[in-house]
Amino acid sequence: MTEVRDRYAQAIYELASDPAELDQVARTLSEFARLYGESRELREALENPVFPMERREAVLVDVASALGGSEDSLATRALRVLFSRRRLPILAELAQTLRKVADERKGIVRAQVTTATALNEGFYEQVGRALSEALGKNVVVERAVDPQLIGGAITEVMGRTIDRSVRGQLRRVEQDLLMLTAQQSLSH
Amino acid sequence: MKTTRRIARGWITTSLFVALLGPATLWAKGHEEHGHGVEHVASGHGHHSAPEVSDINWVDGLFSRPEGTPVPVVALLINTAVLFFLLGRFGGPAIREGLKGRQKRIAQDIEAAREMKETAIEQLAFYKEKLERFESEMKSIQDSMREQAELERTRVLKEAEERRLSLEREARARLERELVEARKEALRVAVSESIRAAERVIKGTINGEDQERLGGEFAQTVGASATREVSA
Repeated sequence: MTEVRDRYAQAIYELASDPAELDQVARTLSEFARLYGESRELREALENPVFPMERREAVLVDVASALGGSEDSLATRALRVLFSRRRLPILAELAQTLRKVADERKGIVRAQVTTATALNEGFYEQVGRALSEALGKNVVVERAVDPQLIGGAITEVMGRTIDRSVRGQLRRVEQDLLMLTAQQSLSH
Repeated sequence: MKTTRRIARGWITTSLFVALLGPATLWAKGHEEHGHGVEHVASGHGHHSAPEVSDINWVDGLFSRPEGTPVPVVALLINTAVLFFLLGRFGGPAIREGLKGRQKRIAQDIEAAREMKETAIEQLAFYKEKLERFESEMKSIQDSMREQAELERTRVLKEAEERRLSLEREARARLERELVEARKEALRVAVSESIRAAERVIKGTINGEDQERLGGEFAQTVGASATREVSA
């Protein structure tokens, strides 16, 4: 499946005229994959053989247009090919790969920053700058909120996680205490 | 030898008895014949008379006897003597042989009986000895069994003691392990509950200002952390 996904990603990458178009395709496919995964009606409309193929393809084009892609855009054509070859289930992974390829072409590194509550804009700008300086890359900050963190923040960048949340610190304290008590039990 | 004499005496007694029985029979017959006449006479008198010694015909008619005269006793004795002579002359060797054979058989029987007795005595001695040996062996076996039983009892007691000590050691070790585990579990629960309690307290007390301050601290340190993480 990975090989198939990479083959489609490579084809789309070669067809894209510039990084902006590639980014647009990646975003459209990503949104379509989200809708396809969440909406049972959309899956029924696209996969049910009771409906004629033309009708199903028309639905696909309508949804792609609604997501911002014209009928002749690269994203819509890519969706048509994937649909006709019954490859829509790999759409989410394909979009992610395209996003990554597009980011690499643009020299972008994405960092997901999760906080317990939404913080002010200055915080995210400061984090983006700090990460860009530290990594030597153009870091784009994607925001997320998780109240379970209690306080502080977590960032995931380049496959690494930097956890400075209150929950994370409490977990570490807990682990340290448990290890300490275990060592004391053994020494006794 | 005594047996032979006893047998001979038996034969002589029997012969005499037969010799006397013959004259007596003849006497009785003659007397009976005579009695008829007497009876005839007595029928006129009405009673019998008892015979006497003088009534016995001893020798009359020894060589010639008128009809009706009883056989004289002397003749009978002569006949008897002749009979004995004939028996002794012709039957004697056979009788002697028979007696000798019988004596021999009896002697053999006596010898066999003696041998049997000796054998029986030997057997008796043998069995007595065997019995004594058996008793001795039985006592030996009993002693051996008693000794074995004592050894077995000692061994079983020793094993039981070792088993008890082993079980005690295992129980102590298990108890210690369980105590360690219980202590660890109690500490784990205490630590976890403490952390949960701390979370609840922090959640209840943290405010927006704290969030901004924590965010600011994160923004200041995230660059160095990223450098460390990525280079690691």
